[in-house]
Amino acid sequence: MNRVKIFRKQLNMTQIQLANKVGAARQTINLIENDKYNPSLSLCIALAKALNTDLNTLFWEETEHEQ
Amino acid sequence: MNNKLLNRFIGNLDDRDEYQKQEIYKELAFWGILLWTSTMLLMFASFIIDTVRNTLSFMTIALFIINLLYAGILMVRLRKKHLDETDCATIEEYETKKRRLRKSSLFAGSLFGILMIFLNLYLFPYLSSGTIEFSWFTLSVLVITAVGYGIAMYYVAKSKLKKHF
Repeated sequence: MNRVKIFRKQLNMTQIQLANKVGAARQTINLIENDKYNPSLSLCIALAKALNTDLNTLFWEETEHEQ
Repeated sequence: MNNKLLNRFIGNLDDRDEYQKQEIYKELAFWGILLWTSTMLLMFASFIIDTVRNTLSFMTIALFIINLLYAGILMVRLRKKHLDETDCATIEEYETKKRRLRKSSLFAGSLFGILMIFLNLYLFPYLSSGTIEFSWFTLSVLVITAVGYGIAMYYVAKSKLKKHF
């Protein structure tokens, strides 16, 4: 599960605001937050920049071994 | 696909994002295949009507040209981008795929032969003149054509297997 929703809420942003910032549709942001769409690398980078974080923090899924 | 062309075709005011484009492409691809299949069936139906009437209509020729162009352009473009190639990492994989190709080509050749024999020896002569005249010469030509088709299919498909060992 990615952390896009958590970071967006922390920044008090709406889905539409985030969508406008990264140049995507609100529907796409909603699908990404619900793990129903795997975004391209360029959109992932745009999301990470818009949410003031990095790709690992936003998308990396830690396994039990890594924890 | 060109954004301007896509927007005009779909009827959008502004550009779609990557997810929306992906979904639009999926729909266009699926319905495009269905449309092509429909035009092929329509061409066949039009050809049967022409045979019964002993004419060759504009519609049959137009559908034939459209289908031929569509298939040809698609084949050339896929080949240009190497999208029709199959990579083989080991000799075993290559041999397994070659065996599968041999079976598929045999099936394709047999199906082509049976269909051609049925259409050219029975259906079309019956529809055009109302009689069936069996000819060993025509049968031999059709069998040779089917064998040639199967062999050609095998070598064309084999040329798309890329050895990486």
